[in-house]
Amino acid sequence: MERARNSRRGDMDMISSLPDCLIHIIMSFLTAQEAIQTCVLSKRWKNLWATLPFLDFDLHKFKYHTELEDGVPKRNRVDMFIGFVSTALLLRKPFDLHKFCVSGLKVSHFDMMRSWILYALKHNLQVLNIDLMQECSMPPNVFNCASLVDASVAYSLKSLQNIEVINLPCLRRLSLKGAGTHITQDFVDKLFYGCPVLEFLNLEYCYRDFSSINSQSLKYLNARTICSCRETKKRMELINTPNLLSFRDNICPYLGGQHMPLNMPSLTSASICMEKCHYNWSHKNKSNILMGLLNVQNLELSGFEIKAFLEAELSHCPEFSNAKDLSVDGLCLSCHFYRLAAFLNHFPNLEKLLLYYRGCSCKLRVPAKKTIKLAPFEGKRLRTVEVKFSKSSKYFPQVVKNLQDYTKNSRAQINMTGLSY
Amino acid sequence: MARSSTENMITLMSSDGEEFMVTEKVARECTTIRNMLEDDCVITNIPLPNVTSDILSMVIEYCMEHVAAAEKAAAETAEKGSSSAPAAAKANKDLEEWDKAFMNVDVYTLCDLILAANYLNVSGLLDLTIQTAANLIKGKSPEQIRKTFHIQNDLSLEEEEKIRSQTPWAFEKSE
Repeated sequence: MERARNSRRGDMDMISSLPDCLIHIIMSFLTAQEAIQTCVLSKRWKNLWATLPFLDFDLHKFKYHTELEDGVPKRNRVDMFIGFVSTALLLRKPFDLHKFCVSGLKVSHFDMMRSWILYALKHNLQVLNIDLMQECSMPPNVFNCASLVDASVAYSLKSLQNIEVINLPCLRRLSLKGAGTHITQDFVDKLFYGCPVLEFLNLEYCYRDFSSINSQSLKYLNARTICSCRETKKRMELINTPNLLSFRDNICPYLGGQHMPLNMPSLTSASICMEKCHYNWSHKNKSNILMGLLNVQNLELSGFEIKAFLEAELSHCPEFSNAKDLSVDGLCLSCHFYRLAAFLNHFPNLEKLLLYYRGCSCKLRVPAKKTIKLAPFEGKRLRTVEVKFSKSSKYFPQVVKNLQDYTKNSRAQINMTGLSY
Repeated sequence: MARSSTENMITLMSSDGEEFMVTEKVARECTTIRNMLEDDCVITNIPLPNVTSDILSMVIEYCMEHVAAAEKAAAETAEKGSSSAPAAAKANKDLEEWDKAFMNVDVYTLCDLILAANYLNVSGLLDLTIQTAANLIKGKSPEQIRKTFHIQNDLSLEEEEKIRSQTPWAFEKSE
């Protein structure tokens, strides 16, 4: 599509005549350094950066020049970067700062960072994005900011236990990513109490040190936490999130105890990872996780312990009549295909099935070679079966054969793709 | 779609008096127009004094393409019962390619489109044009940016030197 139009005005300066707010939105896609450097373009641009409400400082994208002295840079890159951020905040005009991002610094510079965060919090901050290399403690003011809408902090937060009050009336998204952060019940309770509109909560690589979640507002929960049941001995006792739409969690047999009430009636999408841990899934230790996921449309199951999980749970598995998409990863399809088949019988309206086959590491090798006689799948809506497999597996053709036999009554199409890793 | 022939048509009038007949569905892609239609549903003729005819025709072209793509995806989902992931991914990629080709314009037109997308509140087009403009700035020296956007440097040498000396921290360049 070639457009040769308006050559007469083609060399007019149009961008400078855009209103400040639109130029600021263009600048929001640049790093803070690139945005600030536009100050020498012309008189119009001289002070535009000083009112820019979006500042993204990233050490890895920071460009600097220094002379070498005996082969060693005269000035340190990190020091230059810290000077740059501090000066930018000092010289900018006291207008709102809606979005403030810093990434790449280490904990030793956290005192500096703390003062920047405090500055941002005083300027109507809405989006805070901090990516640290090591553990740190947030200034408590972060948890008392009336304007904050979206906060994302990567790397561990030491002082999460000592927070007295959480009051974030506008916070919709919170993401805490960090090895070693202990998420305590006290923190969780204060969080849901102090954040009445929190919709998205991400707790990645944190230790689960809480036993209940109770929130009316939560819609997306990602609790891919590190299992610490052995140390904390905390079972999940309650998940009461009536408006939850999407749930990602990893569950170990200890956490998914028998009496855990799960109230998630709105749930449409769930992804559960069965963890290997100190405890084992067994018939004696039934859970009601599957009951809690009853209404889902999309279900993903994965993890080392999926075989044991299915073994323990199949006896009381409910019928997933809403489920359209199912994905199963981690089950050896050559040795345990019949388990998958028994599980699939609880999905009468399934439309799409995604299976991962990562080869066989089971001790028993017998069933792998022979064809298994199974009653074929009765679901009439199954359209696609996708199998992702590691190419090295010699049992794979047999898996495909079993799958074809099993799904022969539906008009499902079987697609195969190799896993690349 | 069979319904399209009987669908409401709306006339949009550009600042230079040219008239464009579009379906209501296409017009509704512009949030500004959608709000007008919701306030007053019998409206059929909308003057847009801030948009010239050549820019308006491009905005309409963009809206039509995106409405057609959404209709196609919906029709496929209805036909097959469920959308197949590879087909949807391909359709998305095609639309992205179309967007990319659509953005093959001079910077003057680009800025005009930003203004129009902002005024008519077409969020997809605003994102696309803003991102395109930002990509033209990224990684360039001030001199290159001036050249790209035809920005006249009205700062005297002394003034520019003064700004640079006041903000040396901003101009740490890796050579």
